[in-house]
Amino acid sequence: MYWNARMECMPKEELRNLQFRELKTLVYRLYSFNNFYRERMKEHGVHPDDIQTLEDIRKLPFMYKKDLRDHYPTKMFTSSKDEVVRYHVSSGTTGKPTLVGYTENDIEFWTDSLARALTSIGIGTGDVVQVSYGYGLFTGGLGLHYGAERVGATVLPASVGNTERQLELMMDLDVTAIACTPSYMIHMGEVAKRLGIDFRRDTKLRKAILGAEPWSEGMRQHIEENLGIEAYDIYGTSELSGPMFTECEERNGIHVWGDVGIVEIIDPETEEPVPDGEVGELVITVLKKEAMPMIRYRISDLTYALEETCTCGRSSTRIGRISGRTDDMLIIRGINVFPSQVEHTLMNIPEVGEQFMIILDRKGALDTMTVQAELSPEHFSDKMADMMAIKKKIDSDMRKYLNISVNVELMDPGSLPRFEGKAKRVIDKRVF
Amino acid sequence: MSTAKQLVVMVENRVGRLAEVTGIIGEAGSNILGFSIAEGENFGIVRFMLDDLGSAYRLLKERGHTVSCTDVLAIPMEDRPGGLHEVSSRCGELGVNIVYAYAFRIGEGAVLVMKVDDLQKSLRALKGAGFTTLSNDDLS
Repeated sequence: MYWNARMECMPKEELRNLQFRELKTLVYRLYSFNNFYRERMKEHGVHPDDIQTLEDIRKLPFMYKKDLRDHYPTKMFTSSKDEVVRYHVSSGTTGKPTLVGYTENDIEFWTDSLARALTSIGIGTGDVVQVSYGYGLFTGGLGLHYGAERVGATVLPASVGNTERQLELMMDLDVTAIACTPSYMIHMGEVAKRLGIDFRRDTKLRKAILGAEPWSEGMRQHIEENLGIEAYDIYGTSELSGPMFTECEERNGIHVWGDVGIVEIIDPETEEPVPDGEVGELVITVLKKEAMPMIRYRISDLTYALEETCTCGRSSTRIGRISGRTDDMLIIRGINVFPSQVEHTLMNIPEVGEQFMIILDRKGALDTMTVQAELSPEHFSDKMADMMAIKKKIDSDMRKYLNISVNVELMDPGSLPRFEGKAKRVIDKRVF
Repeated sequence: MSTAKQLVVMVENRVGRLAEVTGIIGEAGSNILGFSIAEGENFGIVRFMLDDLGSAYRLLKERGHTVSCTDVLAIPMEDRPGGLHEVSSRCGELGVNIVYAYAFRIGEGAVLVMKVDDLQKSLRALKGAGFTTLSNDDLS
């Protein structure tokens, strides 16, 4: 079953021609209407006329997350504000978040991409899809919601949290598929066990679409064996629109639709392409995007590409499971956190010094993040209430700026490690 | 009438950490008259009444500990049933609010160490009610 057989199974050569035409159009459009990208191209000494083949994409300059931050909020938009129908917001590296705008067509491209993906894993009319990704500024909830509705499934917009109620609804409404983070899936399994609910016996759940945080084949096996379901990997970031691409039923790589995006895998140091199947940094050009086009966007995720046509018949490039990051971004309960954000937040709290440590761990299936911050000696008080007030302040600022609840430990000044070279402020005890 | 100074140390909630602090106080030749520990999740605040505060303060500071000296009221009590009640009930009547307190025996009697809300005002009220307060010299 294909959602759009013509596009999904288009012969490689025809697909490459299509990609070239779309790329050429996109570059001309950006050069004409997007000041940022025109300047970037000029600095780079490249003109749209230089794009003569699909390989010429390598002549184009890269885009970085920093570009989005530097042009916050809407300076990078190619559409007028009136054409923007939605915003989504994700965390930035310091202070300012990353804002993504969508035109009506952008929502349509996004939804269509997910409709193809969901169809490729056998989800459609007759399915009840529980969307247990966060709804709101995060792209996960609304993205999957639109995609699942598009393929004719019934959507249960459960969002995150209140696991017991989610399980109850899953049973009562005969939910057949769920979309959530892999750690939340494991957490649900644990809560179910405690309540005496057997997924195989008591639910109709058969498929899970898992992503938004790193996971492994080992975790997949664990989930599948414990819950009696099939688990599929999903990929996307807010800069691309949101979650967009999944594995098909063959489960041998994530299909990145050729008419939607061009995949390059480069060596992050030399910036040269790496051979098929070899791990490097993912660079994506989104061919269909109006409000905020992305050309050669350095996503900072590490993966590999598979060019050959999949045994499912789909010809698009596939990418492997994300195996790491080129930067220091952390993903905690599906939320992106940069250590620089923690530093930035602490720097604005006079009661603590500049030394800090981040400790990541798992409590059951859920991630915990502990921030250790050193007290400024002059704020040391003999009254516990004063000290607790400092802690509370750090706690609420972290929640405010990182959008995540953390455990705060106020440390004795001088007790945290000092680094002479590159600071290693993160201790990750989680096992993926 | 005078106030007394106590030594306050931040101590990480970790096995052996208090021993490090008390070891240094001993090394400084200072005798601990009384102390209290306030517990706050990953750390504690330890307050000491010492016979020689200066040398313990200096050595702890030198060894990198977070220390401070703060003013408290040290009030002599009788070491008998109802002794603490006499002081605490009078404090209540006088409107003296106690933030925290600890006590220890010294000689034949006892001493109540109190951290109060408004030190000068509390001091005047207690003085007016006929209480005596001790200085560090009185204690050493």
